[in-house]
Amino acid sequence: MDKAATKKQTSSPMTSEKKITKKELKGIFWRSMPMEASFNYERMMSIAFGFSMMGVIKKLYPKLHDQKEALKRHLEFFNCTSAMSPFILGVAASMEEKKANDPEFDVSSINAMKVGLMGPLAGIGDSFFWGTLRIIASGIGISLAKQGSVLGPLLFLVIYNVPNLLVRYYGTMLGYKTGVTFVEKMASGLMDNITFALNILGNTVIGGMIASMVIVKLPTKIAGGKDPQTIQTLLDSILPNAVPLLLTFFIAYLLKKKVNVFVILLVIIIISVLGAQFGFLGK
Amino acid sequence: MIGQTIGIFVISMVGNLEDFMGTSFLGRPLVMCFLVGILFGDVHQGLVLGAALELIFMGMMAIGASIPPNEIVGGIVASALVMKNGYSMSVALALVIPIATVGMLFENFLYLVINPIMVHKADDMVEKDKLTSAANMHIWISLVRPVVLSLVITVAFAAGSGPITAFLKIIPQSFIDGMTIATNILPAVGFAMLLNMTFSNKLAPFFFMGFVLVTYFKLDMIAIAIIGTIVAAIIYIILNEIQEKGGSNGQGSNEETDEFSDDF
Repeated sequence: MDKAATKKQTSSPMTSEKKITKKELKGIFWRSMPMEASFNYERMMSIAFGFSMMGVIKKLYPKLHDQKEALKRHLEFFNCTSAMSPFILGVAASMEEKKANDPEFDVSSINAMKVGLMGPLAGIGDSFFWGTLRIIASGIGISLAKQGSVLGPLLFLVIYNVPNLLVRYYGTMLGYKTGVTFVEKMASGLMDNITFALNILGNTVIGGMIASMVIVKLPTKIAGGKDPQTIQTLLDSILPNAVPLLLTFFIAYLLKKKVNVFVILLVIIIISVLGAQFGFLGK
Repeated sequence: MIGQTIGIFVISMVGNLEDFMGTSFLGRPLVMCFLVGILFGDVHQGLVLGAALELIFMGMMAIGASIPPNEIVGGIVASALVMKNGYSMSVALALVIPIATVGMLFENFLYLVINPIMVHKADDMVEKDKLTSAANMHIWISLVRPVVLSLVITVAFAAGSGPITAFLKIIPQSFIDGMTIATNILPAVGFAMLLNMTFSNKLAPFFFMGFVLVTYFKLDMIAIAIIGTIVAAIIYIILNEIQEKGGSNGQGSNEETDEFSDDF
């Protein structure tokens, strides 16, 4: 570390403008791969952010003191969707570059940018990567694996990871290139349209999956005779899959009312066991 | 037996290192049970088990600071014990949530205690001018969870058969059946969480479109995903048109369209 610092110091830092190249940006892309791996409840993904910036920091700041200040900036609290983080790293790299060339640059704006971006981007990122893309990938993977097809797990990984890696790579590049201007553009309402469009896709898929993957069978007979009607056949004649639908909405309501999710899981398990014992729920 | 145990450890490491490949979801039950199936020479059962267990965990996500039961631990241990001892699938479904909850306890301990301690160690290193070592601490922290959880999984697998066989002897059949019923209902919890995250009144028509397409037209998930994408694209184009006509700055809309078309 010290050696590298002194070596670069000799090459007259006064005249040459410091510039981040594609090499450092690719470095961010690779270094940010394990973004979520060192997660903790205190500063969440802070050290992952610092680690990802290390190549840029060394490139821009020849002096150890400056490197230290820069690394400290990037060991502050950070939390975002993993796939969206490289974009923020790219913006941070472009701002560090400004700082390295302009001592007057206000460094507090770098962390202000991080704090300002991580919330909204996590909102989009979670609903797209966790709520939509992963659900589509699992839905397709599950339906294939159920039939014993090896394509199930393979397609699951491909469908999720191709967009994941593309957003990571181009996010890094775009973040650096457009920097803060992109963020200002996002506020113009275009971002709302993108989020809305992604949520349309997500909700279509979730609606479909509730119909196909939540199964409640009610075999209790409500009339005698040769072909007795059960609660199930009666409900199916009104609206098939109505029970899964209403049940899901009811659980969503309970979760909104801050009912603990483990209580809900436990109640479902207890009712299911009672249902198996007394026959009001079917396998 | 030793070969199997080593195999389980290797599979666990692969699954738990998923975050090194960019949060790749390599450790999901769908993938892990498939690998466990290869290990035990029954790929078909591995795939079918993976599908069933994935469905349980699909919607479970962290809400705020609380993480869900650990699907990597649950998926590997439940499927491996079932395949090794030749139990039926309903046994895997009965075992998976309790095992995954134990996994979650270990995970929470790491996030609450061990990882913060190591982060503070990195802070100390920065103060002592050891910047590279401080940053590299990220990699060491990242390796703790794979190692700890893989050991948990391996021990649970090696020691689990005896207690579970004894347990299965004393519990009534209705408990096993009940767990099978529960696993058909549990995905509703996950979908409820997803709805709370994304649903709004404006999105209700699209939600019900998906519901109706499956309920009445029996379309599969690939078809639903394609239709959803097309409808989303149409609405996006219309919204942008309206915005540009409305006189607000429509500049740069092309750029963003290009960038986000990667997602589809």
